[in-house]
Amino acid sequence: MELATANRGRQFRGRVPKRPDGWTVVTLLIALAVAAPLLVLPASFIVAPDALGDFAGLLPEAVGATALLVAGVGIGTLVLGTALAALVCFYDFPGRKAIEWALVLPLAMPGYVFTLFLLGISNDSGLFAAQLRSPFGAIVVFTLVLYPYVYLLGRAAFLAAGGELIEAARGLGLSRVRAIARVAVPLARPALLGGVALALMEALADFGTVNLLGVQTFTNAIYKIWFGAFDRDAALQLATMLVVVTLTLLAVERIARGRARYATGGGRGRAAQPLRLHGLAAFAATALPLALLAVVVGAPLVQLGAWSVESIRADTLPPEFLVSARNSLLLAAMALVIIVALATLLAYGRRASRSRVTRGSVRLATIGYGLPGSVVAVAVIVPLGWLDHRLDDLAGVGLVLTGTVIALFAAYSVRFLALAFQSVDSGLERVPRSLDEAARGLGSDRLDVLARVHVPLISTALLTAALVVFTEVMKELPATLLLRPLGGDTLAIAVWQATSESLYETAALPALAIVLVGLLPVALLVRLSRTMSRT
Amino acid sequence: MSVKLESVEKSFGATHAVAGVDLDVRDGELVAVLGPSGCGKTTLLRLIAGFEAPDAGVITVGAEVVADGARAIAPERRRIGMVFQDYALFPHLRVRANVEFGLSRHGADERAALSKRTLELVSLQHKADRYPHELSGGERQRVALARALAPEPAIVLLDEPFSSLDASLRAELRREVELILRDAGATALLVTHDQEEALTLADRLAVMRDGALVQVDAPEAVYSRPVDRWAAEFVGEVNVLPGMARAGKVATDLGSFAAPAVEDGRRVHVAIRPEQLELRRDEHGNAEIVQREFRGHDVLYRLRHEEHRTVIVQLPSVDLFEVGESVFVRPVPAAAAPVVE
Repeated sequence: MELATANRGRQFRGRVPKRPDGWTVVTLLIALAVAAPLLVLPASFIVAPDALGDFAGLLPEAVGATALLVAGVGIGTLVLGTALAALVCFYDFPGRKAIEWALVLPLAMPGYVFTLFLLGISNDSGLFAAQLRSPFGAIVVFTLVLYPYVYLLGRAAFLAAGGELIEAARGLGLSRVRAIARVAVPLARPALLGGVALALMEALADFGTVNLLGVQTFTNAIYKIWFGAFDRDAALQLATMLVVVTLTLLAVERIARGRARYATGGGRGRAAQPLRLHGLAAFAATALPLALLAVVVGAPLVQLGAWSVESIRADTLPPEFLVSARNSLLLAAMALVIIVALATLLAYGRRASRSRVTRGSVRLATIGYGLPGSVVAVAVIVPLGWLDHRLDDLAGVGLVLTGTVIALFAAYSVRFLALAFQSVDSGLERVPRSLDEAARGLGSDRLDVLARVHVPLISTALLTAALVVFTEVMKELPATLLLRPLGGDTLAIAVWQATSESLYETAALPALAIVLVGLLPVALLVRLSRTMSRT
Repeated sequence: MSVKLESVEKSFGATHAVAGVDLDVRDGELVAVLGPSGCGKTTLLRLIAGFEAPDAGVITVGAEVVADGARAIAPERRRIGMVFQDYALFPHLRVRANVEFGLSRHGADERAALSKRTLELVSLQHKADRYPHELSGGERQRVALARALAPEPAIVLLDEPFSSLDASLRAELRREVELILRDAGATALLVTHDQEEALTLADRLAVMRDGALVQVDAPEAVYSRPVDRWAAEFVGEVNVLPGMARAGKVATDLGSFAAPAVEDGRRVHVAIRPEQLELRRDEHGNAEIVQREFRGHDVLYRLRHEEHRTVIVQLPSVDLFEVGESVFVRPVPAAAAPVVE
C-alpha cells in the first residue's frame, strides 16, 4: 500500500506494479453511502429556490425559538455542569465518590421521557402547566438532562491539571474559591466549551421534547412541513440551515478539544487536594447534588414505575406495547450489527491503508455525528427515493427502500456510525502495529490476524460500540418517526404518541424500558473509567 | 538457511531508504547491520521480512526468491522469525500460547513438544503460564525470541532487540541471546545502532550509511581496517591524522605508519585508535593533558598536542596521569593506522 508513494519516486528497473488497494475502495464506498444524503441537502436550494416562501411565517419563529434555546441551554449547562464538576473535584464531603459517578446518570434520561414525567405530574397537580409548555420549560429540561456533558469534560480538565496552579494562586493570596474561579475554571475553559457544544448539539437534535412542549424550533418545523404540508424541498432547506448550525457547533467542539489538549498537555498535571467540608457546607454539598439526581433520575423512575403499575392494573396498556417493544429491540439489534460492522470495516481500513483517500473517507463517513435525526431522515429519503425509482424501473419491484426498514437503517448508520467508529477505532489504535506484523511473520494471513489477534484485543471496544448503538437506536425518536414503515411503532414513538395525547400512564412503561436500557452504557462508562483510574 | 540480497532498492517518496544493497547472510551465520538512526537498516529488515516490498532488486531466502521487484511473497509465507524492538508479544495470550502462535500448522503433540523445547532453550519453561505483562523486560525478550525460533524459521531477524532494556541488563542478555541463537543453529540478522552490541555479537558486521552498505566484514576487521573516515569514526573512537605519503609510509604528527599502496607525495589521513597510543611523563613532552575520563577498567585522556590538535588516548587505569601534566604521546610499537581519506 506504500507502493503508491514509492511509485512517485525515482524510476526503477522492474518496479512493483500499482495494485488497487481494497481498503481504500471499501472505506470510500462506506463514506459515499453515508455522506451522500447530507451532500444532497443543499441541492434543495437549487431545485426549488422558493420552496420556503410558502412557509415564511415558520422561519422567524424557528430561528427565534432555536436561538433562545441555544442561549438558555448553553448558559444553563455551563453553570450547572461547571459548578458540579468544581464541587466534586475541589471539595470533599460525605458521599463524594458515589455522587461523583452518579452525576452522569441523567445521560440515560432522554429529554422526552423527562418531559413526559414533568407533564404528567403537572397534569396531576395542576402546577406549572403554563410555564412548562414554553421555551423556558424546554431550557430547564435540556439543562437538567444535558449538563453531564459539561460536567464530564470539566471534571476531566479539573483533574488533569490545576493542582499546582491553584496552590500557586493561593500562595499569591487568593482565597480557595477565588483561586478556583480565577485559575482552574479559565484553564478548563476549552473543555467546558466543548461540553457545552456537545450539549447544544443534543438539544438542537431533539425533537420529542420541543414537540411535546410546543416549542417551534427547527426540528419541530421540519416535522410540521414534512407531515403537515408534504413539502419535501422546504423541509430539506430547513434541514440544511439546521445542519449549518450543528456543523458550526461541531467545529467549536473540535477546536475546543484541540485547545483543551494544549491547555492540559503542558507540565505534569496533578489534581488539587480536595478541601474537606464541615457542618452546613458539607450537608449542602451532599444534599444539593442528591436533590438534583432525585429530581432528574430518582423521581421520574419512581413515578414512571408507579404509572406503569397503574396502567397494567387498569389494563389501559395498548395491545401494541409488545409489538413496539419487539420492534425496538429488533431494530436496535439489527442496527448495532450493521453499524458496528461498518465501523469495524472503517477502522480496519484506516489501519490497513495509509492512503489520503482512506483518511478523507473516514472523515466523510463520520460527519453525520450529532446531526439531528429529523435532518438525517429527510436527507436519506432523497437518494434512497431516487434509487428506489431506478430499481422499480429496472425490475418492477415496487418501492423497496423508502417504505421499509432499509431507510431506517440508512438513517441510523448516518447518525450513529461516528459513535461506533470512535469506540472501535480507539480500541484498534491501542493495538500496536508490530503485533500485526509479528502475527504475519509467524504465518498468519490477514483473516487469521483478525481472528486471533484483533478480535480478542478489541472485544471491549466492540462491546462498547454495540451497547452505545443499541441504546441510541432504542431512544431515537425523530428519524424513526419520519421513516418508519406503516405499523412499525417503537417504544420511543409509543412514548411520544401517548404523551402528546396526554396519556401519561400509558406512556410510562415504554418510557421506563427506554431509561433502563439507557442505563447500561452509562454504567459501562462508569465502570470503564473506574478501572482506568485505578490502573 | 542463507539469505541473499542483490541490488535491493526501496524509496519512500523522495527518501531513498535502501539504495542498492547487496548482502549475503550464510547459513548459521549471525550478521549485524550497524548504522545511525535513519540510515535505512530497519527498512532493510522489513524488506527481508516482507512487510515492505522492494522497488527493485532480488531477495532470496534459502533457494526461494521471495521478492524480485515485480512481485513479493506475503510475510506469512517467508519462514522468517522476527523479534521486534517492543517485542510485540500478544498481551491476551500466555507465554506458551505466544510461543505456539506460529505453530498452528503442526499437530497438537508436535506443537506442545516444540514449544516446550523452545521454552527450555530460553530457560522460561517455568513461566509458560504467565501473561506477558507479568514478566520482566529480559524475560519478555526471551519469549519474543522463543516465539520467533519455535517455527524453525529460515532466518531470525532482530530489530534493535536490546534497545528497550536497561543498560545493566543489556550486556548480560546480549551474551544470552547469542548463545540461544547459536544453540538453535539459527541464521540471524540483527539491526542495531549500538556499535558495542554489533562488535560483540556478530560473526560479520555490515556498516550502513544513507541506505547503502559501506563495509561488510568481520568485526575486528571493520574496527582495525575501516574503509573510510566515516566508518572509522562511527565504529569506536578514533584519531584522524593528516599526513604525507613517502616511500610506503605516511608521516604524521604522531609518527610514521606503513601505507604501502599510497603513491608518494599524496596528502592522506590515517586513523589511529586511542588504545594504540601511549603516554610518557615528560616535562618537555609534545602534549598536555586537558581532560581525564575515568571509566573504571580504563581511562580516556584528551590531550592538546603541540600542533594544536586534540588527541585522545586510552590507557589501562593502573598509572593515572593528572590534568595539566605535560606528556610525550606516541604510537605503541605495533600500531597500525589505516589510510581512511
